[in-house]
Amino acid sequence: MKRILIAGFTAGFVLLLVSLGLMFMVIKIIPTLAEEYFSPVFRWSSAETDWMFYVHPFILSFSLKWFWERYKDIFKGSDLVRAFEVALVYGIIAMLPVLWLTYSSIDISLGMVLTWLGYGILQAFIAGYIFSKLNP
Amino acid sequence: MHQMKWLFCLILILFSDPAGADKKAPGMKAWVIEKNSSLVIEGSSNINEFTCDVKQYMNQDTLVFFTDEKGKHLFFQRSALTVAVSQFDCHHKFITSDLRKTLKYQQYPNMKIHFISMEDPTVVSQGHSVKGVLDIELAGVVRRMELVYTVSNQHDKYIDLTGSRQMHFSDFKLEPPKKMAGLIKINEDILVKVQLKFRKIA
Repeated sequence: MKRILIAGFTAGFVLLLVSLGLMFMVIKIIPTLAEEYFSPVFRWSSAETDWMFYVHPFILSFSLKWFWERYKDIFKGSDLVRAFEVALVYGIIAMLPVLWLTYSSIDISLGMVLTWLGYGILQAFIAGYIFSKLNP
Repeated sequence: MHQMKWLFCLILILFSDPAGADKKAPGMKAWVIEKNSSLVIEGSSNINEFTCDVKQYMNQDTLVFFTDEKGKHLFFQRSALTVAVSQFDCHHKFITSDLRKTLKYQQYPNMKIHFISMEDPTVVSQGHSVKGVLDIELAGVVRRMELVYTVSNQHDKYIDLTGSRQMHFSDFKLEPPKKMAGLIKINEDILVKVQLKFRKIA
């Protein structure tokens, strides 16, 4: 239990830092895409919901941790290869269908959806690598 | 105390003249605000800068005023410029929508600029500046502010004034939009620029 908590919180904390870093990168590198976050489809910042944004890396981390503990035996190879496989599975099974639906029903650009897909795959890769290192 | 209130109301009713409220008293002068007057708000976010404008001022409000004995100051009476907040265009659909929402345009559809007083701009030459006092009414909050105008065009029948002033959303108890848990945000400072074109009618 202790191992699971340490791995889950470690991955969650790293994912939080990565998500903040990537957001600042998007603002600096692709500002036209970042402007789209002013769209009315995105909720205004408020104390009631902001905490959920900052908790999301931990939700993802513990979800992936559960997935890792159940299926880690089928991922073979080095830590990087196992992390890449976790990322690919997460991207195809979890991200792609949801983002497909999101793009079809919400007024956001394809560029925005693709960044989310890339971001999700990167998150799963980082979490997979940490789990492979801590709980092989 | 209650009786005093009634007495005060009675005095107001007796001495007010609703039918003649818009009449110009002797000695009063008037300027019509021309349609091609404009109001511009310059702001920024942590992503970029933006400019919101009302290029065409649709109402033809009239400013009624009298001058003091020395002829140096104009004092306005019931003189306001009304701008529909829905006319603001930030040339960026998302920011336009967010600005209107920030300014609570559904609850308070108009921004009003009440002219209180001004140094007489007709006695200074083109390019010179005069000070004025305004009450700006935005989102249900009124703030008195001083504005420095530059006389950009001086004519017998027309006078153009331009002025700008740094303001903050918080001056009007407004909170600038923030998205993504505050990572994407409009900054607090805005620069309000006015270009007023007046036609002298008396």
